[in-house]
Amino acid sequence: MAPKAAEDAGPFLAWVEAAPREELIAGLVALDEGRRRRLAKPVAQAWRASHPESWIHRDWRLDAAVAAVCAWSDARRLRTSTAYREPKEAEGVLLEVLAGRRPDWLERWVEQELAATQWTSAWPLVRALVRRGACPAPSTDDYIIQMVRCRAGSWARDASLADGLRADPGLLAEEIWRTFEVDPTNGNLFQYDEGEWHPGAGSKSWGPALVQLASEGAIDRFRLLEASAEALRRGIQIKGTGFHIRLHERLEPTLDEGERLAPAYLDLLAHRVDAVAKFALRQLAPLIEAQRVDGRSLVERIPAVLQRETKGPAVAGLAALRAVVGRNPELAAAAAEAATFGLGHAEPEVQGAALSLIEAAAPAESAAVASSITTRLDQVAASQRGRAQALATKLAGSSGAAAPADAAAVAPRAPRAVPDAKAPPPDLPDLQQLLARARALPDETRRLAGIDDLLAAFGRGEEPPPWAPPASELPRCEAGAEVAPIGSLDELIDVLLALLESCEDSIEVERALDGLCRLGGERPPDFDARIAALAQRVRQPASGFGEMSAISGLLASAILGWLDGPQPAGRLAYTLGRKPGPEHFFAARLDEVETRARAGPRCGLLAMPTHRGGWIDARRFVPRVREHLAAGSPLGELDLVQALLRLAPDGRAEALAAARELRGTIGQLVRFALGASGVEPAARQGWWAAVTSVGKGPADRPLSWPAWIAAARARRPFDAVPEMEATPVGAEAFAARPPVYRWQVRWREKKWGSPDPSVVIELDPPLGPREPSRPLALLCREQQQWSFGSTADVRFAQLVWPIDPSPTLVAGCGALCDRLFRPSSAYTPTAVYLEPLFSPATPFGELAQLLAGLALVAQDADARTTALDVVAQLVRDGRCRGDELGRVYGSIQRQQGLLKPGRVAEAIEQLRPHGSLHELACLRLLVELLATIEEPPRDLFHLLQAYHELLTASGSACDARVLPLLQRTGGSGKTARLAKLVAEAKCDETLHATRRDEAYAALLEERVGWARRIGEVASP
Amino acid sequence: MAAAAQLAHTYRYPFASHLEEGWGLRLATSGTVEDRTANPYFFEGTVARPDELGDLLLLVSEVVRSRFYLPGAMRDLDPVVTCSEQALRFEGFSSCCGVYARADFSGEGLGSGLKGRGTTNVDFNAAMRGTLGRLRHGGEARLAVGADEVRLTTAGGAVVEKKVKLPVRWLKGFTEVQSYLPRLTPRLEVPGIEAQRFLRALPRGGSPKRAAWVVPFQRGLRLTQRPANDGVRVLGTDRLRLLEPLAGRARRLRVWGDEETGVSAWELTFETGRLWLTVSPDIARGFSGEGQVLADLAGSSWEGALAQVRALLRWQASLDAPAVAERTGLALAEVQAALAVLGSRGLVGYDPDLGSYFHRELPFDLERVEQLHPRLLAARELVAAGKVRWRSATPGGEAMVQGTSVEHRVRLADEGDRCTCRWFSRYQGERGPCKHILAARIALEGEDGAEGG
Repeated sequence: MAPKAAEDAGPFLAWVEAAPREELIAGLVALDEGRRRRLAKPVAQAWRASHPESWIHRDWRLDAAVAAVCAWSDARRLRTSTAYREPKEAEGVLLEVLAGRRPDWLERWVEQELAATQWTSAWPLVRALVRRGACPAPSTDDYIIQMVRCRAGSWARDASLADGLRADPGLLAEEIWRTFEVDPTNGNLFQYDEGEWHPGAGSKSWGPALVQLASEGAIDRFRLLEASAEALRRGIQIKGTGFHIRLHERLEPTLDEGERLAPAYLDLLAHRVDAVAKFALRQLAPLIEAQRVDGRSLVERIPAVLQRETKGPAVAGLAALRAVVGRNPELAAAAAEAATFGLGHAEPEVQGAALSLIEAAAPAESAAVASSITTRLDQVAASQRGRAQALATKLAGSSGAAAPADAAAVAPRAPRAVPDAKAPPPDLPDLQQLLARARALPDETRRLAGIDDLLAAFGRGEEPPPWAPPASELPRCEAGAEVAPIGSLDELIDVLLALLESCEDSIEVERALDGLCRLGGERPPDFDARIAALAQRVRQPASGFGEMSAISGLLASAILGWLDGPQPAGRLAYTLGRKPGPEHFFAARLDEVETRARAGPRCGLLAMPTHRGGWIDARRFVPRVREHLAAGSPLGELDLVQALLRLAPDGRAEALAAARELRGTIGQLVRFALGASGVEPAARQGWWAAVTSVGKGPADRPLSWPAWIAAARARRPFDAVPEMEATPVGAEAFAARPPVYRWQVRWREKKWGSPDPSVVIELDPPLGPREPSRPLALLCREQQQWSFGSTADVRFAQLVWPIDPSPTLVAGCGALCDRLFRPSSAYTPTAVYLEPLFSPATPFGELAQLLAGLALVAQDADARTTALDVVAQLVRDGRCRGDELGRVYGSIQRQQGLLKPGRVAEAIEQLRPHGSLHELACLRLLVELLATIEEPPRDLFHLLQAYHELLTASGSACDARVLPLLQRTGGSGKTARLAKLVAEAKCDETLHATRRDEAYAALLEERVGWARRIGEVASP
Repeated sequence: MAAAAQLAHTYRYPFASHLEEGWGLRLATSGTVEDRTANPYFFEGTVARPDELGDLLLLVSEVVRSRFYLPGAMRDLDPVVTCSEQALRFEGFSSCCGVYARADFSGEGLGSGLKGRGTTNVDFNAAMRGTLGRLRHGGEARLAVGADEVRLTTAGGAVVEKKVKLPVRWLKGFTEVQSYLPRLTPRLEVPGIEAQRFLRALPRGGSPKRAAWVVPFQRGLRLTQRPANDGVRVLGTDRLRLLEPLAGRARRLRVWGDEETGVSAWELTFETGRLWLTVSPDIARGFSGEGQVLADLAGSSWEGALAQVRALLRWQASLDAPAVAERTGLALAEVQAALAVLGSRGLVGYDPDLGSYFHRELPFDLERVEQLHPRLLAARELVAAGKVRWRSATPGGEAMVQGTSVEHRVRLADEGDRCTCRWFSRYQGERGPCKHILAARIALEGEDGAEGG
């Protein structure tokens, strides 16, 4: 019994803490209302002091006391216990107290508990209260949702779900049926039951439990069928349709039951989920067979099925139509017209099946069917179009109703004479004009744009070779792309504030550094007021800077350095413990900037780009160096290294002439970088381009080897520099010659988790020391640290050596491998690595081919979308012919499971509409890939289908290199049939020649346009 | 962070909306803000294309029940219906505040069943939604929005009452989206079947995280991540998939865009109606907090005109600003500003196709929601507390405005105002002016007014 001296809550609380379970329950329930009111406040206080929110420190006794005495204002904070820590004796105490007291707030509390998201469910307690009559069954959806999720309480007991339901027959009468009406916000009520339908594991699963109970007669079987069909028809639980489908099918409706449910099945044909439409067709199939469904209603509803995105329901829908026609010949004409909707489906297989049905079912003449076919002709695949057209013409008969409104759009191409391979290109007005424009270009421009090679190939009747742009010669400093330095302290502050939020524009980062060098010493009278907001912002925690970017954090340290003094320790936080990378180079440059800023007169950065893309016009670089030397400004070696790496090919000769006046070792270095002969690289001992070298007589002091390496790469970015061979660094990558990259892709076993694909890239020669003075080595990521991180970090890396993105492409390949089977990530972006490939001046080398190839088939939507744009451009300007990508895929596909043929086919489907040139490129890609496949993969069909469509559209014959694979494709299924069709594809000479001419004209036009741009840049 | 403020709201329907076999669709209307007991009776008539009616209403319902970003989902929300002469409009707003849907049915398709005018909520329960698909087949059907007194008293059936909590953010977004619509221009147009192809080709399993542009391609559209002058910028392409089930049956798709804000609207045209899907610039950005209307609200050009323009509202389907200006004698700019303010208060909507506003009053008690424009309120407080300090003797040009712990430098200029606060640094004015710029502008206007007076 509870102590009677309730005025003093102390004894009461002490009793609560010590009483045995049964006595506690009895005592709490027996309290009268007056005592409850007096005890409410002290109990609530004690309870609050006991940390009731913590599931570790819960005091079940105080919980019970609150339930016994408190009003809603305190009781609303009561939570059902967490089973993790609850001792055995606590079981059921809260239930007994609540059921015994029946407080007026109980219904509200029950609803609240059911709505709360908890580790465990309140449902068992609530249900027990309902069964005890303490409160009515809640009408809220949460009650049902919780019942489903906690398996009607059976999850906590040894009993199976079916046993649990039998033991609570009220659930079978009411609650079970509400599960087919509730629609949770996540759209899936039975999400944990989707996969659990195996008898062994089914003891707690809803599906098998319901089926079992129905078979016992414990619940109405037909009502269950009806409820599951109705749930589907209402469109509720839209992500959990699989459960209802499986439940319905496991109940195995009889023909009589199916007939009664036929209206629901017919409605489900238009369901937004394809699986539901297929389910409906499966249920209708025996009814059609037995003529127990209205055929006309079915025919009216089938078009909705034929317009679905996926193939399965459409194929099943056509099969249903065939069955209807077989049983109801009077519906043949209507079925034929309905089947024409299948011609709008994206899959040629569906279109072919639709045509077969129309051929079989349509009357001899039918203007309606003919017209319906004609309106869809432009959507029909190339492989089916001729057949569709012929059928439309036949059905139109004498009425001519099939004549399409735009005959030119669907008529076969006008035949042209087959050109003689050795003769000049055919007499096509547009091509002739293009040729004239091309020949009229200046010689040098034509050479740079690769037009001479193109014209030569045309003349020989050969396929044009892939274009390898002479990247080290193409001008880059376009008018209109100049970068203006920051002009004022206010502008500097604005730029720094914006960069603290986002560093994605690397040019702005460089402008900011340059601004700090030139303007950082200004101290107007109101300086503190002007920088107050910046100072406050930059002192906030590092994680508050824009995105998670090493560059943004380092930049913040530079700003602090400007405001408060040098911050090497602050920068250390961004580089310590990280494997060497471009951020180490940036950090070292910032050290240099700070040292220079303290040392004396302020010139800007040598490395400040003059043009977007990170380029420095050599004609402006030389005066910049001269200005530094004249001003006696401390010269940072890392600044010099970065500047050299950014030198554009434009105006080298002019710049070299101007550089003759530069004196000392600096002058020699600059002239060497610009291409002067007779300069011998000579550096001081030691590897480190130390910051301490700054400020010690800039003109004559010896420079380090990293500076000479940078000069060598500026001199000849892609070729050997013999002058460096004999130096101590001659064997290092990037010194005497640029490295050759060799790659392979393989599955990588991991200690935890499933294997994932990995790119292994080897460099020859191998990298030298990866130090901040050697930024090119730092750009080459080691394995296990592929990604540079955020978009800002990647763009910064790309700006270090803009003329050759190969080192960053290496990182991109690794990052993409990570996302082959994963969706886009905002934190590890991949599309940004592809950006340099948009420029026609960027060579499409092996690494670029690997990167583009991986991106085209990645699950990462950003990478895939950007890759489509990139490859479209690569093909358009001739850098990519398609076979390169085919070879990449051929290598990858040898690692089983790494390449999904469906994704390749999907990429081709999106690329080929760009034009004839892209169509040709897709053909070459497929030929290269198919030729390397030894064992036909499971879904070879997708590739063969894409190949077949391309052959038909281009009038090409099957390539001989593909025939062995086709011959190895055995069996009698659709893949084998398609393989045979492909193997027998014949060349339509006329169409082939026309498409080829169109392709080459497009290529020439693009190249001429590019040549014009080069000419404008070279001679502004 | 404190929990978002919410407005308690109750839907009270005399019966549950349902599809009556052999008759058609009966939609129940809820009480209005002014009179919670009355249930408006707006329309009863025939519908020429019940399949289109069902499709469009289903989509509006789906938007209302959708959430494309993290903010918690709200259940049991109902769309809003507005009936004016010759137009029936159903509006819905997603719980992530980033998608606004509106289905417009024109007078021709509705016959002559107009019974009343006004705006209220309409019951969209699960059972009714499930039966909308049945409208797809068969000939004409009837539609009733509300019911007459006789039917209300004789029909029987239980009153449906739903209590919901509407976040202020959601209410703000629902009203603020109207300030974007006048800025939209039509950019792309394709037949419905091409629209369906484009939507089906959108990336699955996660939309791109970077902005993309929709550009014309062959006869249709395609997605590119290269900025395109002839394209429309879009981020969060998952949201566009809502249109895919309907696009194949539409006559055409028009894509409207506003380059400056990045908002786009997707208009599907059907025989008897049209569907608008307006999406915010980013999946993580709702339409609330965008601040596009703040500059208007901060100014005073609308204050004198507001009452006059409001007095002219009579549930018109189209409010022609020049005609209103002529009738009232107000300047066109004043009328336009007043209409923009009325839109931000949920009292008018905007139809880009007509190029005009329409009268509709959202059935929520927005007078109680003082937090609708916290930035503007904060700006006014700054001015009232004397925390705007001009840097020169003459007001204008440059001011120091007190921030949380530092004074921010505000520079006012015709080519664009600037501030040193974090909001401005991050968004560079793309999401409306910060409170400091607003405060400076308010203060300047006050100074100008004092001088002028």
